[in-house]
Amino acid sequence: MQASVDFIEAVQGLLDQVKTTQTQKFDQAAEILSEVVMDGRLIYLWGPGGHSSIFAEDALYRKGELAAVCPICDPSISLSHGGAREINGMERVTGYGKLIIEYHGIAKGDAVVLGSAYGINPVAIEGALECRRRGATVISITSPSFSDQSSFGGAKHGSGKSLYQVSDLYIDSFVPYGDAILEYEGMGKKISPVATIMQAILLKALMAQTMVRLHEKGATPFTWTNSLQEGGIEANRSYMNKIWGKVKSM
Amino acid sequence: MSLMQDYLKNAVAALERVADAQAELEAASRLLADTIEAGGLVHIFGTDPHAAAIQDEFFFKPGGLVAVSPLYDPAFSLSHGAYRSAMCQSLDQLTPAILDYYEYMKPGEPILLLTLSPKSLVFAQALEKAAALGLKTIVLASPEDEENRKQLSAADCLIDARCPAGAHCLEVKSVTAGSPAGCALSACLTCLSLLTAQRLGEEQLWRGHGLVGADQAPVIKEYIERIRHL
Repeated sequence: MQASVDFIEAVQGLLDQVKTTQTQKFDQAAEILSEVVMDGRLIYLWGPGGHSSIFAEDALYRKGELAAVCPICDPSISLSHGGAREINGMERVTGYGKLIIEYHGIAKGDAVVLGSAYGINPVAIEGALECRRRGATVISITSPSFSDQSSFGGAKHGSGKSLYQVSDLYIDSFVPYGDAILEYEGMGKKISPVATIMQAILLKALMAQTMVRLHEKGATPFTWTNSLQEGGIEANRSYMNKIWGKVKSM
Repeated sequence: MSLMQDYLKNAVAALERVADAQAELEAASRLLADTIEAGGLVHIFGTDPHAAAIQDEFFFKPGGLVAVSPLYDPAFSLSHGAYRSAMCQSLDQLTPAILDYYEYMKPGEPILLLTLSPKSLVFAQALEKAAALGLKTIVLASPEDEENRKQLSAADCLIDARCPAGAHCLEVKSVTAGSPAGCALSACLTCLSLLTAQRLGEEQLWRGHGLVGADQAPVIKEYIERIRHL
């Protein structure tokens, strides 16, 4: 039993599925996002719920990453202030999703990339609906098959809708229902969840596609320099000053 | 008189009015002391950002009670977005969700509920939920009117700080300012801490000068898994 290899191969299998079926969606999404950046706006990234918040955090102030992003890292909808608090309670508080969108000033013409593998969390659905109500475009990275097989009403938005159903465009991350992917005889439950990895890789892929699209349009996307190297902080300073007030998580 | 002198005069008067709450403070201190002597915890929760800041006066402070467990949530902290915290005040079922998280609160243990906005939805729901959890509810607030007093009196004990947020204020360029309500609330809390400390042994109080001292490590070790935010 070489579980480490099994896990890697299982993730590779999911990535192959993404590669063979989602390329056109990446193109469409990158086109939308590149226009947003060329319009002088920031791309909002939001992983609304517990582990999903890692999705947005990973893109925050990261060497080589597109700097024109506003990762939403709400403390109540992250694990940092209590995993059980978030998962068992906060993501089900009605009105919280709307509050986050209002707080970040998301408006008509903006684009929000929402990452939620399970795609059923009420805060995520409410947030997506509010974004669209305001005229912002919602692109989600999610797993419709996971959402469709989730039957526990207590964990869902009052509308019964899933994230892929309330997005303008979604990219399928193929996270299997139940998240855990490895199964061994005698172990009882499946082990080893893949949601965070799949969601994060797909966001990286989308950001890469967006940066290249910007380059093709003649706009060199600003990316962060490693602040741990000499001169790194200084290299980032002017862009940092430009976005400081807008990016609350910075 | 200058603005500063007017404010100080109002603040002193507010502190003096706290003395009228002695009977309620004594009653509450007996409950807190009995709980601590029986090995329980005293919980404290400020349900608006400025009350949440004041609750820190009761936690991990030299001369203060060791067995105190605060409830904190980013929704009630200005540091996570002041505007955000203002919007959170009207979120339905927010405070019940927060109280549910602190599962280790035992029925019969007291919870001090502090607020400078005693008519807010979050406060009303916190009071209701705390009671439903079987906690002994001690409210520290200044009722804004008789109806509000009646609502707050649903608590097991109401400590009236006698200084509603809008009262005893000054005007600065036609804007209301300089409310001494926070001083009054803070004074109530400190008085409660002192009255309770008087009933307990030294080992149940934090020692230190300015900050809790490094020699308190054994006490911290005893409580660190029981008090979430220690």
